[in-house]
Amino acid sequence: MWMGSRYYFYLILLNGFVNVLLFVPGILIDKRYDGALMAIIVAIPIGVTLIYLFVKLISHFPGEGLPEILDRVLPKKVTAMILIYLATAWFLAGAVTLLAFVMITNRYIDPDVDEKIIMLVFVLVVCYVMRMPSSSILYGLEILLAINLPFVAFILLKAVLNNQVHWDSIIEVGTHLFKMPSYELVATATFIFSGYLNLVIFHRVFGEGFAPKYLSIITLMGSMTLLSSFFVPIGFHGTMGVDDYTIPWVATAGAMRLEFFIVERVLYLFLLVYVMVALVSTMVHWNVALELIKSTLVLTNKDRHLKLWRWGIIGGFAAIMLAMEMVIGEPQVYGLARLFLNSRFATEFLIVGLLIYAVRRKKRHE
Amino acid sequence: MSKRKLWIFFLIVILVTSGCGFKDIDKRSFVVSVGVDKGKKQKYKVTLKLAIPIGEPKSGEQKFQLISEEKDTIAEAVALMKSRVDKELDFGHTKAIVFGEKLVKEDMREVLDWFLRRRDIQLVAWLGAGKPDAYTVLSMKPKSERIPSNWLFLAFGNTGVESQYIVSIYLFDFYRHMTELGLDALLPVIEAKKEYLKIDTVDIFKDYRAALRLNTEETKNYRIVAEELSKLEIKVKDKNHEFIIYADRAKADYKIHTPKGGTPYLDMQVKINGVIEEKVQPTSHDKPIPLHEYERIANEVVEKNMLALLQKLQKHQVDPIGFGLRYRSRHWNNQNEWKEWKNIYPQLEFRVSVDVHLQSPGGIQ
Repeated sequence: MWMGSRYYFYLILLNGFVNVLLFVPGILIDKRYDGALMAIIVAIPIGVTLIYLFVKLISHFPGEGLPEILDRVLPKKVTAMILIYLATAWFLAGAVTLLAFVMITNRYIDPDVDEKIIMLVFVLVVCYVMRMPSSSILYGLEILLAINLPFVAFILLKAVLNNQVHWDSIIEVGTHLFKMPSYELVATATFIFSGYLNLVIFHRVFGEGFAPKYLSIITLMGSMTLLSSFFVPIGFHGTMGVDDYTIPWVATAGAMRLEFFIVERVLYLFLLVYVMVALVSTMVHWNVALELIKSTLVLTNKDRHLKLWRWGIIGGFAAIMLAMEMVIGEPQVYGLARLFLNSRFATEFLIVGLLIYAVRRKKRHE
Repeated sequence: MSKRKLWIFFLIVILVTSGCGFKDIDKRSFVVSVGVDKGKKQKYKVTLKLAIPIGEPKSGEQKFQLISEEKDTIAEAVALMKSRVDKELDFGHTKAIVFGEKLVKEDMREVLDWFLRRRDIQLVAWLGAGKPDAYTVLSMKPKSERIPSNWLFLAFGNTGVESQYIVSIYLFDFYRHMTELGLDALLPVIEAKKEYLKIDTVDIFKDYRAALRLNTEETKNYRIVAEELSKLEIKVKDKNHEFIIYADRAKADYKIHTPKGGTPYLDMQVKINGVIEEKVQPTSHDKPIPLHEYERIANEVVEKNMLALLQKLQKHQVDPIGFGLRYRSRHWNNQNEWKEWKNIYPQLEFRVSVDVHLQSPGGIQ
C-alpha cells in the first residue's frame, strides 16, 4: 500500500511550524539590518526549486529511500559514510528541537522541575514513537497537524490583525531590503522549505505516481510563514527592542491578550501547540536518523541482530540526549542550531547532486 | 506483550512527573499588582499587593495584603518580602505595575529589566505612573472595587469603563517605545484621590525619563492622533458659541513632506464624526444657525487645539506619536535618516486640517 502524495506536504508543513524552535526567526531578526529580508526573498525560489528537483529525481525510484538508491551507484563504504553523516545531521535536528523546547518548558511552564526530568519524559515519549514504521508516523503527523493547524492559524491571524502591531516599524525594516545576505542567512531562511529532506527515508512508502504536487500552495504558505515569523515580532516589539528578547516568538505570543477566552494569555495556547509540534518534529527526525543507521548496518552486513541493534540505537539516542541536556547550556543550544542550519543547506545540494548522478546512471543502464 | 510494555511506560511517566514542582492554589499568594517607588535609604521601595481569596466575590468585600520593602534591587526586595509571607508569591496574575511619580523622572531602563527578565510577569501587564507614589495608589480600596486592583484592570482593559482620557500601555509596549528610534515612551498617570483613582493625564518620556506631563485635554488630543479613538466628547468654544460634540469616531492621518529647499512640513488630516451633545446657550426661539456653521466653528477650534499639542511636543523635543519612526520608515537612506530627522524635527511645520462631520443637532433643534 503506497501513501498518498499529501503526506509529503505535511512533512514540509511541519518544518514551517517548527522553525520557531530552531531559532530561525531569532537569527533572521538579529540580522534584520544586514540582509535578512533579502535572504528571505532569495530563499523562496531556492527552497521551492530544491523541493521540485528532489521530488522529481527521487520519483525515478518508486518505493526506495536514499540508502537503496545510493547503494546502486556508489561503493558500499562511501554510501555508509554518507548515510552516517546524514544520520548525525538528523539526530542533531531533533536534539536541538528538544533542547530548545525543554528550555522553554522549564522557563514558562514549570520552573521548579529539574530540566533533566523534563528531558527524560520527552525523550521517553519520542523514543517510544520513533521506532514505529514510517507509515504510522506519517498517519500520526497528519492527525497532529490537523489538530494544531487551527490554533496556529488563529495565533497567526490574531497577531497580524492586532492593533498593537506598528506597521511603521515593519516598513522601516523593509527599507533595509537592498543588502547582500550572507550564506548563513539564506541557509536559515530556506529551513522553512526543507521538510522534504525527510523523504530520504519516507520515500520508501511512496510508490509510482509520486510527483512534486502542491508546489503553488507550498510556495504561498512557505513565504507567508517566513515573512510573518520575521515581521510579526518586529511589529510587536519595534525595530530596536525586538532584538533584546531571547526567543522573539515567545515574547510575541506573550504580548497578545485574549479578553474573552478561557485563558487570557496567548502564550499558553502557543506553548500547548508547540509541545506537540516539537515532539512530532523530533519523532520524524529521529525516525529518519534511526532508519539511516539501520540501512547502514544492512549495507555493511552487520545486521544479524537487527532488533537488538535497533534498541541499542534508540538507547544511544536517549543517552546522548540526556548527556547533552546535562552538559549544554543555552548559548550552546543556539550554536548547535546554527551549526545544523548551516550544514543542512549545503547537504541539500549534496543530496540533490547525488540523486542527479543516480538518475543518470539508471538511465544509462536502461 | 506490547500492552504490558505500554503499561510499564506509563508507570514510569507517572513516577517521574509526580514531582513537587506544583504548589496547590491554597499555598500561593497571588500578587495582583506591583508598585515601585524611589526608596528613602535604598534605591527602590517595592510594594506588592497580594489578593486574599474569599469565598464569594459578589458579596462586595475584598481583602488584600500590602507589603513593601526597600532595597537596591527589585529582586532583593522581593526575596526579602518572601521571608515575611506564609505562602509562595505567584506573579502569574500580576496585571498592573505602578511606578512612583518620582521614580519615572529617572532612567527607567534599570527598573524595567527585572520585569522583562522574569518569566512569570506578563508582557501584557498594564503600566502607570503613581501620584503621589505607587504605594498610595496600591493601598487604595475604592468602594466599587470588588476584587483587589480590579479598578485598574477594568479602566485599562476597556472591558469596564471606556474613557477618552485613559491611555493604556502594556509592559512590552512601553519597552518598545523606550527602545524604538523615533517613538518616545509614555505612561498614564494614576492619581490617588481620597476615595477613588483618577487616570486622565500622561507622562511623556525623553531619554528614558519622564520629561513632560500632558494635561487632560492634551491627553485626549494625543489619543486622537496616536490611536483611533471612539466615543469621545469634544468641547468647542469661541467668542459667541460654546457647545460639546459627542463623536463616535475620531481619527488622524499624517504625512511628512520634505520639499527641496523649503521647510519640511507635516500634513495632518483629522476626521471626526459625531452629534451635538450639549449647547451652553439654550436654544432661543431665534432662528438657529445651520449645522454646517457648527461644523465650521468646530473645525477651527479643533485645529487650534491640535496645533497647540503638536507644537508643545515639538518644543519639548518629544515624539510619542512616532513621527520620527514614520520618517525613518518612508526613507531608504538608512545610514543618515535618523540624523536627518533630528535636524528636521525642530523646524518641522505643522499643517492640520480638521473635518468635523455632524450628523445631527441631537434630540432638540
